[in-house]
Amino acid sequence: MLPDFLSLLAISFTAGILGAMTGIGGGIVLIPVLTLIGVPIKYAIAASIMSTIATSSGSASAYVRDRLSNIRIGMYLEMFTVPGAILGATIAVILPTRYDFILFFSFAAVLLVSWQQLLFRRKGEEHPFVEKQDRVSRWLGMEGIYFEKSSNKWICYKANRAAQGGAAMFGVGIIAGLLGIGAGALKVSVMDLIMRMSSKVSTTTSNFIIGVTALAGSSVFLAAGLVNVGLVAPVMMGVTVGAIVGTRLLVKMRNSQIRVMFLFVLLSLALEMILRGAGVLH
Amino acid sequence: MKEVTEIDDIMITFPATSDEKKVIQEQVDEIKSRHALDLEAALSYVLLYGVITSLIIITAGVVLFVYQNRTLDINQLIHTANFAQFTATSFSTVFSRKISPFALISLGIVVLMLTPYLRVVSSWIYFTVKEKNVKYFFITLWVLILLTLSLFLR
Repeated sequence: MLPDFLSLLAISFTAGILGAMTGIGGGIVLIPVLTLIGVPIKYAIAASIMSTIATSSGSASAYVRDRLSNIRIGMYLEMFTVPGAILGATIAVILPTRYDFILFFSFAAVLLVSWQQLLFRRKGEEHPFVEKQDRVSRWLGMEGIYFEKSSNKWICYKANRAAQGGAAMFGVGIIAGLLGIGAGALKVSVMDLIMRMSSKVSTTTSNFIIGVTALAGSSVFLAAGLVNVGLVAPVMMGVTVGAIVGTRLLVKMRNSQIRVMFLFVLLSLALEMILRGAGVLH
Repeated sequence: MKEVTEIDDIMITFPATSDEKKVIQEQVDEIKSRHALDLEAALSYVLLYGVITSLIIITAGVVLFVYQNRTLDINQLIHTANFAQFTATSFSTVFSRKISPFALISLGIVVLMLTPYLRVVSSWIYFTVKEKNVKYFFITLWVLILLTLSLFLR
């Protein structure tokens, strides 16, 4: 039934390393590979979303300690991602198997979005200037101060368009719950592009949101009886340790090598998901 | 006007009046004077140790399984109705000395899932007690209610 423990462990470990090194997250690589070795996609999704709690909480702790993440903005956005994740996970659970292609195609779409983000290396602005904060954001007190080590300065910022950001985050929550991923890249895009936050703050705040969002999704999969202990254990162990190793390696290895390798991996996985969705691959 | 303002070691990325600048300087001074271990630091340890504990328990469960069965073919679905019952059964099994690999791994999953939950609970206490912020009291309460409902789902 299940692939053997050690291969699951090895695959999850690799996914954890790749996810941490590229900042794209472990789940997006893990789930397509798990389905390739015969794990039913819904069980793969359930195991992945649980491991997301571990990886995000592990790194979120470092960021919270450095006071980079904005707890207010994070909490406000969780108000939208949590119901989104519950909805998304519920859809994944009740979706009949003959409609699994919807999951495969959604996966391909998210993989391709991540692929092009990595290809064009789109990075948010370092210090976006907010000319005039809108009323909702001001009412919510969306501002903060963080210390930037590289320039040795205290950066004082404001976030904008809280309402639009919240609406977009609901959608991102649905994707996270449906596919069992952290969807960090999407969360960061919402904060960077819509709410005009500095890339440093949005990356760390997104990590903080991911854990809580993943919990909401996890409980849906748990209640649905989709959690297999024999799958969750190796995935959780592998991805978490892989993420720790990946974060360390990140500093040592040259960025361009990883990028080329990862671009290739993402594209092949997207192709696999499309073929699977189209019924060519079983 | 579309320029960042820099005062000493502070950079302001929005148009600020001189009064606002004064407030910001006071805030930065306040942050600098804070102790290393305040609530934010404590919260970050909750997250980190929660995950580490869970990882250790799950690994222990796997090791016990190998010891008892001489194989790594763990294949068991969790069938309990919801997280609350799941928590209750895993705790009672582990603490009634009927430690099984399944119960240990389940307990690890419980600890893992409780970690972000505790994080939200502590933020709620923070907004209520320390910041006395009514808006965020309600925002966090909403998140907490949704999470609690999802844990009791079914």
